[in-house]
Amino acid sequence: MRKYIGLVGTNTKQSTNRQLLQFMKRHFKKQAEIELIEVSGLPMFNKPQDKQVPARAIEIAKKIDASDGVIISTPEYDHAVPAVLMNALEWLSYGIHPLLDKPVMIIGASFGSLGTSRAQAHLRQMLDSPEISARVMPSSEYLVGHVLEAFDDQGNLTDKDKVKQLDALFADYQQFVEISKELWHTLKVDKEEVKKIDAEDFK
Amino acid sequence: MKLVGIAGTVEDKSYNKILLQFIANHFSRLVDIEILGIEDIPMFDQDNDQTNSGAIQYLNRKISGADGVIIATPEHNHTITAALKSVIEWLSFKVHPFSNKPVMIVGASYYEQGSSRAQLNLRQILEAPGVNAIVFPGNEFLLANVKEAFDDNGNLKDDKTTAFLESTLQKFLKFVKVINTMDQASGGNDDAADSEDLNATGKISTTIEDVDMAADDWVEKAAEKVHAVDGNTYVKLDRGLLTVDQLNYFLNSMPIELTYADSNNQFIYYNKMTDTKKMLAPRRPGQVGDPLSLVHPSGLLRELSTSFTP
Repeated sequence: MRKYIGLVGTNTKQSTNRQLLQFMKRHFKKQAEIELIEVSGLPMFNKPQDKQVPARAIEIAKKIDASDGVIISTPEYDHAVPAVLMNALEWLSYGIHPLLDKPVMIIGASFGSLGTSRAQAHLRQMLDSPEISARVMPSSEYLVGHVLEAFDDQGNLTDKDKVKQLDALFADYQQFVEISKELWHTLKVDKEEVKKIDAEDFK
Repeated sequence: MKLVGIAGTVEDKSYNKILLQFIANHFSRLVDIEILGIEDIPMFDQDNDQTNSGAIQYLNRKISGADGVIIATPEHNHTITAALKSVIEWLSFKVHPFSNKPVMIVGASYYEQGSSRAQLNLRQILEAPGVNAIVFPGNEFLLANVKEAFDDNGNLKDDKTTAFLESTLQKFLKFVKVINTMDQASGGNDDAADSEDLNATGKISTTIEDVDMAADDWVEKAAEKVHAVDGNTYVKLDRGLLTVDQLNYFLNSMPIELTYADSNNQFIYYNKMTDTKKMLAPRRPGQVGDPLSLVHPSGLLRELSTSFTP
């Protein structure tokens, strides 16, 4: 069975984005194992001259390395990804690059009707940067708006159509992870590019 | 006019900090820019509201009180730093100092892109409803290959780049004026203040002609020209007689700093009661005679020039 990491892109205790990942973990338990990882608690990224990456970031990197793919759930603050998730991605692309060529699926939930559409586009752009170079699944926006009504008491998505959409998307993602294995031609170039960036940073 | 500058980074050594410092130093004649650090701002956490902490309130007050803001942003992962994003999140949560504030974005980066994506992204963030800043349109200032851009004294090596930066800043200062005028509900007097001739190019009956207004010894030269009296000579006043020495003693013992600018906007007197450094609004002896445009950054001057005119 494939193993995925679910990155919770928020530090808020009551978060529907965490709830959405928890729902996926239960809902897809027969098809894959999803382990949730919190991104909070890392120090503010400051490009330390001593190149020391915090132990917690290394721990997260190892888990991502060992996984088949990463599902990131992002809220939207000020039309963008929350600082806490941006910070985690900065640490995860400084000397260590666990997301390089890793198949990634983006999801998001919001109180309003737009369902984090801008934050998801922002996250996509970040994951596309040479320092991260993740392999984000194309044409796969999954937005859950009006989340306060979206889950029942057991934390299950109430909207049948939304569940159907998620099922289809997850099936595609499983396929995407498979296909991604064929996309190895750029890996070498990407790795060299990342090395160059690190060399520049650590000068 | 008073601006604040924020470098969007918490790195010790940062080219964006150098760029911002250069702008503040090099263009200090155009505008007063105070640089604010963001090192002490914690990660945004809505469960642990720290809006009332000293560090966040400091930024809140400084930004609220400024006429405009300049942000210098690095680019990490095609976007701005988490540190800067966190600051903006705090300042769009319970307090909103960026609301309706004119903001100019600049940025420096190691590579050819010169922070282009981060700048676009920052624009989008600043225009989100909770932040509600008014970002200066067009006029992108991107400094690429920044490792080669500055000399050892932190000055931009390329004159053309400096000139472009200056013209961009000039336009931004106009933009700040326009936005802030638009924002002042029904003041009405701003246009009059704006049309003030702060260079004192006109002439009134008391203007002493053919003496260089900007010269440090304007007082001596102008006094010679009009045969001004001094020392123990009596001057007849509205009701009384005083010697010039007595008048000086009298004015210098006032517990307030007096400045006289005439209606031609020429600064012609201050009561030199104490050292320049100890003054609340520091005046130097050599400044007397200057047109007001040379004395102050223009924003502060508006009030002075209109309220002190006889």
